Amino acid sequence: MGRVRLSASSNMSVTTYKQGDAMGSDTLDKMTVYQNCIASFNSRKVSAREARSNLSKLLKLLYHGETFPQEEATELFYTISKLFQKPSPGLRQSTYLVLRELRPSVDSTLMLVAAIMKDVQGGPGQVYRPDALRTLVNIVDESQLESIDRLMRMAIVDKDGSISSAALVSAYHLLPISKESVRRWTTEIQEALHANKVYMSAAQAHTGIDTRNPQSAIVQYHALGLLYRLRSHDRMALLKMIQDMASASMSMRSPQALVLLIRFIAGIVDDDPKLRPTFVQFLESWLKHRSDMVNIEAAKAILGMSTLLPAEATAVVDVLRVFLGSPRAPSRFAAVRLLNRFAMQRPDLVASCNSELENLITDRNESVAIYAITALLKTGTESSVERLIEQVGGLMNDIADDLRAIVVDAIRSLALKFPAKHRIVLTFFAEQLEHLASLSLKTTVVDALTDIMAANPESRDEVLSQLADFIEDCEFPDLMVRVLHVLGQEGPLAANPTQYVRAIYNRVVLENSLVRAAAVSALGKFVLVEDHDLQQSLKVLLRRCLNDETDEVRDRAALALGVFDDGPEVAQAFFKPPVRLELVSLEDALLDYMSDPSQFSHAFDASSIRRLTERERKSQKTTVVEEKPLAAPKPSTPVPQPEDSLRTVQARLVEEMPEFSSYGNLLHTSAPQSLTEDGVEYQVVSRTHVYGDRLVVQLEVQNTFEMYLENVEAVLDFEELELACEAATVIEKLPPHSQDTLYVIFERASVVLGAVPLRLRFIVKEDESDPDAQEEEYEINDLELLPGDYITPSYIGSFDHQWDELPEEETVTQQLPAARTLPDAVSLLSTRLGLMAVDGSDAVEPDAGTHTLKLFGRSVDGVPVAAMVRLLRTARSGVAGKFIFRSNDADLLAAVAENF
Amino acid sequence: MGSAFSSLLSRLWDSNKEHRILILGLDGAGKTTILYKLQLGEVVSTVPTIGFNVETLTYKKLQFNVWDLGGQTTIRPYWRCYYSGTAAVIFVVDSTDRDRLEISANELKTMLEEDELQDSALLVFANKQDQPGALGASEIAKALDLSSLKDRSWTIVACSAIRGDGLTEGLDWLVDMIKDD
Repeated sequence: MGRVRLSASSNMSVTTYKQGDAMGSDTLDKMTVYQNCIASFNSRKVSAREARSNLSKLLKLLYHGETFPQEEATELFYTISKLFQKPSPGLRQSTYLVLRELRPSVDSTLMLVAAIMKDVQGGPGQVYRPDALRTLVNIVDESQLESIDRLMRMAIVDKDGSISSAALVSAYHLLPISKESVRRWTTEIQEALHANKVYMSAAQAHTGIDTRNPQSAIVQYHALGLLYRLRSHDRMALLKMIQDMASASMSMRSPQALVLLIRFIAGIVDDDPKLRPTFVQFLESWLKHRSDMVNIEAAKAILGMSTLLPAEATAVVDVLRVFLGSPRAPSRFAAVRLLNRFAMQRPDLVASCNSELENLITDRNESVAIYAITALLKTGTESSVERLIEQVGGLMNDIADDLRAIVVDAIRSLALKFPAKHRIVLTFFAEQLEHLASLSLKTTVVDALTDIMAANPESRDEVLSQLADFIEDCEFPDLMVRVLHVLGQEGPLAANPTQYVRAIYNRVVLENSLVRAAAVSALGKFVLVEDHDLQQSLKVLLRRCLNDETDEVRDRAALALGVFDDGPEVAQAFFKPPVRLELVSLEDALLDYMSDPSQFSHAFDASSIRRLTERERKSQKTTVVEEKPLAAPKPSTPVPQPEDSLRTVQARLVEEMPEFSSYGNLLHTSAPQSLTEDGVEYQVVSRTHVYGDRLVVQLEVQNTFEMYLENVEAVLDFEELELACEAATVIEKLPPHSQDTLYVIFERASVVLGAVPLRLRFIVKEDESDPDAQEEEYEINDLELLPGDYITPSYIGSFDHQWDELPEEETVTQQLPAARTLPDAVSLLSTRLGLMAVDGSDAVEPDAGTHTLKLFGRSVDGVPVAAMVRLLRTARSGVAGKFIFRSNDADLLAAVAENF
Repeated sequence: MGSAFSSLLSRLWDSNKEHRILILGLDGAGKTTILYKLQLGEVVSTVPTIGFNVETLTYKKLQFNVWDLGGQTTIRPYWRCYYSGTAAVIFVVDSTDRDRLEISANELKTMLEEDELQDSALLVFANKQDQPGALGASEIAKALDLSSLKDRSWTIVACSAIRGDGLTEGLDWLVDMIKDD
């Protein structure tokens, strides 16, 4: 009896022991783990094995997002540091993992620097050397960088690739702490890029067998990426590096490094199309590289170029076609994804892959199948639409929302291409709206529906009734608000508006105040329907809304009723205005108005705000919806800043230079103009600001060189122009890699145009205390005062009428060497002239041969300037234009015609 | 059964028990040089220790776990994290650095007041005797006010880490102290 019980209990203990030991159990208690760690690591008797098991538990907690308060974390940190007395490599690796996780919660990690540095220098083949290195950069701060400098240099060029890689990756992490320190290692990084690395695992170190694995040339990838980051500010050096690497690509054993190089190339060619011929041959040769990923990246880069020759496109498509049959799913995926995107641009070329794409519809990888179908949808013919939509409908339920959005987009463009097929498409979309899906997907569907309706008025009734059904059961208030807006906009034009009034009013009864307000606004628009009965019912409905509990809803109802009572003309002007104010500038102006109560004495003046016609508004909208073109990632180009309003610029200038406040209102400010070539030592960007009787030239001077500059001043040679220099500022000190601003202020009587030769004068020093300083002058490009610096683009509703009114005329015919296509020319001219394209004349087909551009603007003194430009593009001589300018100020006109 | 096994283990541990030794002192006193002279028998080139070095060394069949903690002002506050379980402290003084003898004395005094070090033996090395102008052991002892220490085994040995003079003498004393314990 006793024996039986004994064995039972010992069995028990075995199982409990196992459970407790299993790392998978989720029952780790934070306090217990913490106390076990402290107790066991402080004990001199702890075995490496036990310590490692405790560390693993701690690590599991940390990886699951547990944190310790600073005091406890610090105690853990110091207690763990005692484990450094044990030479066990496995324990050391675990220790490093934990230290890296604890680091953010510990106030000072100084104590571990020496011990970790010793581990980094440890004997060859020590498995924990890379771990030590990665932890080291994690715990040092800027003040200790000096002491690890030599160590890092040695590690970067270590013959063991895993150390070298760890050092390079660590250097990345040091960039934000001190770019200067990392820059000092450039020689070593370059050596790492070219060196042949050996990879040693612990086992190899013991057996002494040297196995060179070409796949592990990852060091090159790390080194190349790091060099790029270090040189990203210096365009010439960057270009040279990329060129050298491209020519020596045979020595690039790492496909990852080559892929990176291709991305860099795509980036710089995108920035500067002149470089295209230099690099395109490399890209073409890499289409035949032995590595799949290099082929695909090269294909992507070529397809992403702004200009694509037919031969290149065919070559790329051929390469991608082969990948469609690849046994490797990633290759198939990458190829089909690229083709799908390219199908937007050149469906005819992608169509040559149709039979391969057809095979992929049944691919066991769903993502591949979806992309294949969407590509087919884009290349498809009218006859295949039905079959494809049916096929994709079967797959839609099983795939993720982002993929579904891609399909929806493809079907949307299909519907736009084949308007006759809109019924099938609409049925498909109706199904999508019924299914459970995310807000973003449903928004995509709703957008697609409205686009179809805009392009094909025949579909209006069907789309609207679908949307009306949709809001009956929609869980996203935001989207509902949008749909209500669309119903309000388009509903009055439908065959049976009453139907939508009912659907909208249901929302007023059932939904929250946000939706109710939108619904009331939408209802108001039905006033435009000329149907007495409907108008009477509308009145009743809107009056009911006057009792709503939310004031916004009541206000809108009251507004709608008010407009109603004022008669059809007012309603028409209110609900369907021919031009609208541009919202961004309106908001700016209103904020400005509100900020200063002294302005309240006069009414808000909206006349200076840019106006948009319905057409312009639509074109703005659709450009947003357009699928993003296939473009390479741009690692270095900054995000374009939205243009500031005049008031903002004026306020900023006064902040910098309080004297400017006496100059009155800023009348015009130019776009930044770069006066230097990219990549030279000093970069200068100019902006001109026009006041009533002053002209201020603002020069942003950037020193990208390793020299110290002092007393930097601008020397302008303005003798030929009627300008008198009033004052100029000087930059006292401009250290390397810094930037500062110079102002030159002129008195101005009239509109002064022309080119002003410009030099920078300064004192150069090697360092701050350099005794043999030299004065130098540095020539930069002429400062051009263009008509655009004085003229503000403005909108005019009746261009032709205004055109006939203006008495003075000047005609010029000129070649436009800077523009290669007509759209180029249009955007170039509007900026240079400072005029706005009106009557929709900025819309021009990319391959059009001729175009008439109508431009309008007002000078700083309020004088209207109009231009009619007949553009002509010929294959031989590029773009030329005949410019007719009209205004009522002959001097201004002459100046404009002479200098644009 | 588990407990029987672990007590067997702990007996095994005891037979080659490691003794924890701390080497402390101001920056530039020569702590790291002493550590590696003791362990490797040679003078290695050192950089200021940011943190600590820890080495195991065997002397007269005793296993020592020697912690050399950096002496810079920024690091001194962290010494105390490493006090517990310390068998002996080796305090190193730069015998030529007269200006900072007082700081050295203060650091020593603060350190010896710590509870965790009440049972630790103290060995003071008056280092850098090879340099001209070095103070002798008795002068250092006086400056550090060693004679006032109560209830503590201590000694001071003049040494030169570079030449190796005096190091074994100090270590011999330590071994005797630890064996007595």
